[in-house]
Amino acid sequence: MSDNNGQIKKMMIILSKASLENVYAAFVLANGARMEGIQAEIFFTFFGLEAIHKDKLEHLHTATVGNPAMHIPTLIGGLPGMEAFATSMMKKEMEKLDIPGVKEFLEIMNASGVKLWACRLAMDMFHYKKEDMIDELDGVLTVGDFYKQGSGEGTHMLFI
Amino acid sequence: MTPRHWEVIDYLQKEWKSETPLSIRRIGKSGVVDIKEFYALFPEGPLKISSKIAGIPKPASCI
Repeated sequence: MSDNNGQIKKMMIILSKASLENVYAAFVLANGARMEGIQAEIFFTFFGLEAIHKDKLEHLHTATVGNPAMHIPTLIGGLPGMEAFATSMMKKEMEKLDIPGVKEFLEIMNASGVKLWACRLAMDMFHYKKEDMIDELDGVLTVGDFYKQGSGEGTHMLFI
Repeated sequence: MTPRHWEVIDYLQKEWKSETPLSIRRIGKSGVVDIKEFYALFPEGPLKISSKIAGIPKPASCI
C-alpha cells in the first residue's frame, strides 16, 4: 500500500501553446510549486517550444481573436496591430505586479531548480536544433523519457 | 542553520521593517543572496521557510 497521503511532490507541466497567457500560466504554476518546496518540470511541445526559442521568446503575443473573454468583437481583434496592442497592455500590467519577462522568468525557474525539457518530436517537426533554444534547457526528451522523469509517488501532470 | 542562513534572515527582517514587499525575484536581485543559493539554503520552500524563521508574515505572492 502507498503511504503517500495525497501530498503533491512533483508537478509535471506540459506546455503546448505559446500565447502569452498560456506561457505565464505554466511558468507561474511551475515556479509556484518550487516556492512551496514541490519539484517542477516543464515539457515544451509543439507551439510551446516558442517560449524557449532564443529568437522567439521575447515576441510572444496574447491572442485577440477567438477569445470571448477579451470582450472585443472578433473582427476588431483581427485588425492589424490589435494583438500587439493587447500584448503591450498585458505586459504593462504584469510589470506593475512585479512579474518578470519571459527570458528572466526562464532564468529564475532554472535557478529555482525547475527542469526545462523540449519535446524531441516537436523539435524535429519545426526543424529546431538544440542550439536554437535557451542555454537553460535541460535537454530534449521523448514522451517516454518525460514520463520516466515523472515517476514516483505524488506526481501530478498538467497539460496546457 | 549556518551564519549564511542568518545573514539572509537578517536581510528579510530588515526588508520587512522597511515595508518592502518580498518576492523571490526581488530577493534574487538584492545582492544578499541569489535565487539558486536561496533555494539551496531553504530547499523546502525558500520564502515560506525563511519568513517563518524570521518571524515575519509569509509574503502573499505567487511569484
